[in-house]
Amino acid sequence: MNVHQVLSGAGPHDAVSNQARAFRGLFGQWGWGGQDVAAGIDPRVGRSFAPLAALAPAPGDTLLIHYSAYAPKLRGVLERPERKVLLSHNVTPARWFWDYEPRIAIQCALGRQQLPEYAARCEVVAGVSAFNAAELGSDRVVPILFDPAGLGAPRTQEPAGPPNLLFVGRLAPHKRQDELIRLVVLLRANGVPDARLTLVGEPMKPWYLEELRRLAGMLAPGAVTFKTGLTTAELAAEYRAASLFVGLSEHEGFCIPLLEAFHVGVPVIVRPVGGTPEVAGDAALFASDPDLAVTAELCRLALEDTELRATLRERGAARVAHFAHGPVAAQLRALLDR
Amino acid sequence: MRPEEALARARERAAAARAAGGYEDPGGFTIEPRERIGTDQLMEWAVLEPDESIMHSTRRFGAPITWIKQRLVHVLRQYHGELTADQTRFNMHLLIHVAELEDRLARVEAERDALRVDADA
Repeated sequence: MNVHQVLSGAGPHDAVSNQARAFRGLFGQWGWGGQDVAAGIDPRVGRSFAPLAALAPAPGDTLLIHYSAYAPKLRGVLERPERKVLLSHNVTPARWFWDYEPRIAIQCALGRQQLPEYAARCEVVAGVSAFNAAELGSDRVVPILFDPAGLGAPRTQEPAGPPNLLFVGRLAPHKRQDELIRLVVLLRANGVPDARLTLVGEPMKPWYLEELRRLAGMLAPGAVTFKTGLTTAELAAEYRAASLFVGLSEHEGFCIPLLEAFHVGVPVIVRPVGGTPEVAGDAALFASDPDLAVTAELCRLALEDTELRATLRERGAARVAHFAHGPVAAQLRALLDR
Repeated sequence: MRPEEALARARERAAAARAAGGYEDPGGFTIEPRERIGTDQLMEWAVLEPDESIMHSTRRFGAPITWIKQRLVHVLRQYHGELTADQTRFNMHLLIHVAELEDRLARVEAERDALRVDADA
């Protein structure tokens, strides 16, 4: 069997490209062939993806379309006679980008607009979360294939040093790193004077990173650290050094960093949006109040209460088991097998 | 404490801290989603003023490429200026039409409402 993966864009660090690489590894184990192509390829990606024009499926092959952004060039793929499977990774609503990055906003707006058309023209439609699938009227889910091997074994002891909040995710408006900066300011002024924040992620644009740096420098000089372009080993070190993982994103299709934090044993506080409630299950504290003071108090409880931390760690490990490689691989195979 | 009890406890503690003068807003810029784009904002966006410094290379060690690309944009500035002027002219006139239509619609709606009031009387 041959499965060709089709992406709108391939990058060195993004979740969709990583997922396609992981899928290709599985396909290899199953003895399946095929190639991975993308309409746009970041020069840093190397040769793991070929240009879309190189797509040359044989009759009977399957095309797995990873949908995560507006992709007019993929329209031609829909015309092909081969069996098409659409896997939606979700597209962020444009309202988060109009004021900051119009090109991304346009891509998001058009991406969300054309997604139902793509879904209607594929034989099988699924999402990486039930939230994503439901947007397309489907109940088929293939969660993200989570491989914690690169992060090492779960940590066995609490990190030393001052309380360190961690968030891992693209530096973009809907991820609300601005809220996290204000959160650490509130914590420092209200009972946790040595609280620190580490923000890991690639910036949407270099100027956005500078804006966030300016905000951090103005409100909490020296308390916020930005880290970009980390290797897996460096990312693992950040998780090991974290007292809490705090995510205040306003939109998440899945949120892999939750599973990474659970794996390492970092208690998680997250805003319940999009796919995060189904990924976190009962293993996180949900920051459902828009009031940052309540979130700050949740952080204080999770920092101070050892019983609470232990329960969250235990439940987090169970969530990682829920998304174990074997069952997810079986779901993927069931989706692609005729 | 069980995780299920944490949110209620956090709300109590936040309310108590607020009552004691804690949790003052730290300020700074706040990200706001833009649900509806108003005409004033469209007018601002309609004027194209590209910034040459945003042209850059995403390649590792791409500084020399960035330099070349920025010089290229610079030497083509007259041509780009013509294009952006044409596009800005179109954008502005289109927006003026939209604004005039909005005004007319508002007047028509006001007249309709006045007629309804008269009819009800």
